Amino acid sequence: MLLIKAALSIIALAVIGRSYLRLLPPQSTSWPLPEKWGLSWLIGAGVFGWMANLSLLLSGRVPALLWALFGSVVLVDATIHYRSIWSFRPFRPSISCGPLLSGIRKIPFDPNDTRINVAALASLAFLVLQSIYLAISSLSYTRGWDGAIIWDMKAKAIYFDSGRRPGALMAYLNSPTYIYPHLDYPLLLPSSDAWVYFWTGTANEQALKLIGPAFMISLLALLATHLRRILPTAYALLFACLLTTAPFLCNLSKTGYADIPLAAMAGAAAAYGADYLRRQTSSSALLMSLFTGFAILTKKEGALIAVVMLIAMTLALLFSRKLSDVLKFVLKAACFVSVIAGPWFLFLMIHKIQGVDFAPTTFAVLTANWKRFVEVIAFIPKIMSEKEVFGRFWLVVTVAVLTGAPRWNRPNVIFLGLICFGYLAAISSTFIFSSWNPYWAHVESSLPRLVMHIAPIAVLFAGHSFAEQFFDNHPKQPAISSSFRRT
Amino acid sequence: MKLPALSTSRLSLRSLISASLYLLLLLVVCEEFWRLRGAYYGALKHVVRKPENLLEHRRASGCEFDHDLPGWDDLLNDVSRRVPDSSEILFLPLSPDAPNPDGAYCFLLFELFPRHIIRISPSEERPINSEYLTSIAESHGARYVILYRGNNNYNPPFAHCRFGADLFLVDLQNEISCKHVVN
Repeated sequence: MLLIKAALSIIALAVIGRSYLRLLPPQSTSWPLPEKWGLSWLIGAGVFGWMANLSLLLSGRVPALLWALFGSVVLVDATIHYRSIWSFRPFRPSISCGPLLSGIRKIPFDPNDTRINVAALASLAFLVLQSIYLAISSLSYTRGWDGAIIWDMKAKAIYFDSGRRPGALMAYLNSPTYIYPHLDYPLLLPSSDAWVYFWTGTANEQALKLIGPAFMISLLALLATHLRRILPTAYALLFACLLTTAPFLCNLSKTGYADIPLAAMAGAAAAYGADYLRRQTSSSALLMSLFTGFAILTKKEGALIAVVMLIAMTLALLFSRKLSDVLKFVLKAACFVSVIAGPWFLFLMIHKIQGVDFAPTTFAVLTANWKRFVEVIAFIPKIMSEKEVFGRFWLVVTVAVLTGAPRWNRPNVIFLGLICFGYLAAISSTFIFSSWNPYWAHVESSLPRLVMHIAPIAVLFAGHSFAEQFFDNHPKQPAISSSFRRT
Repeated sequence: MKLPALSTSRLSLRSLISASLYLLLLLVVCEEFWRLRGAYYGALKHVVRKPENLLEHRRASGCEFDHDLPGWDDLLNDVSRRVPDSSEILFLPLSPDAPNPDGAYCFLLFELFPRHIIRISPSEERPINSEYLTSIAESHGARYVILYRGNNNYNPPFAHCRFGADLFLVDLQNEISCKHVVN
């Protein structure tokens, strides 16, 4: 019963997220179904997390009224889009699909491309199998130490705060750091967790076990549908499958850690950022800004990703657009990200809540510890090549990226590449200020997870490099798919 | 002999590279499928045979603590009933060989929220007597102490309730009364 309620709560959050999605970029109604549902979940979780942060800043708590306020968007959406609220049929299958494929309507992108379709079905089957296995095995998997002591605890505080013990969240956030660790971590994931608690009517962390898979499956859906715009379906699905071949990534998505939600938000932001650079659609720019902000609200490292992403986008735009367009985008994105992340940082400043893992960023510390940067950077390839951690994920990504090397000058490829390399450099530099003694324990305990944050972006980098080199202008040129058929 | 030009060949270099990458991706995916074949089967078997056991029985599973041991659930119920939500409780493992004190602390922290549980490391110099307990309790403004891993001979110097062989809830104001001994 607990699981059914938990599953219903996740569906409800996605339905509400769907309403926000319809109100934000109205053209989203014509997107593929898996993309819409993936986006719906991520936007639902993101908007609710943002509202919880804002409410905490303004009223000092997360009242029960907020839950109703959050859900009321469904009524607004229904009023505006009452004619098409249940229409999920923007895509006409080009060949008739069986019931198994009825949900994934856009798979056979070329009716003549029968070999690709068969190949796509195999990778689609693997993707579905992995998703189902992920959801089932997560039920009996541990939430993980950080999952329990950091994230589930925050969720419990939010749930109690809006129910039987008002003020529990503020008391928790202002409690001594020797009781609860990482009080400075943001509340997006715990808000989604608290949503499930609210629906199940109890703060039983067993009910949260489907949250991690929900983020992972949303990410896979987004990757597959996004890559499908630039690659033949078989390739697009295989690139998405590649993400599930990293054992560490799959295992982490069964736990309560915030790393997969962060990877999902960052991956979504990068996907729409690259899309914006390719197609110049305003909805992509909007979604990129939105998910960049949500990444900041998911985990502290999200701020790092956001900074790197905005710098990468600015540089990529400088290569391809007029300066006035670049300034306009930067201004809009900065405003958007500030509105989303501002309440949380303001709250931290007002209540003087600080982390304990890092020393103050002073010049003295920098000069004393700069060698750590070199040591950590040199350690990253070793982690990436560990088969039991990442499988052959990074090897294949590297090969795919290298095959597209002649097209690295394309803005979308520059953007994605800069994020990957920029983020690795940024996280390596953060250890200069680590207050752990020895600092290497900090590196070993967190670096694999930090590297994992950019795994979806690395898949996009590989996919875009490859697509630009081998499937340029796809799908406008049917000759490209036929050239594949000849192989 | 006329050599075929790469650009016009049926098997051009471009299509060769793209097909090779396709095969590489497929190989990696197949390898992962092969690696997980036992796990897929296990999960399927679990769903079919024992669907009721799909969900792990342990609460706060991230703490990696087995709370099935005698006394733990009774302790949680007793503290929830007796100690107000706004209270602070000390958690003191009595001996260094207490099993999984980190997990026990994590479990209590999670399950007894919003009560603050403050972990105290046992002093090597000072014996755990009434003066010691009073001083640490005063320094943290706490009234109750959970003593972990007692033994049958240990008798706390204040009014207390005992839960199983391992646990004591001690009231430093000596007002606690246990209606029953839980074993």
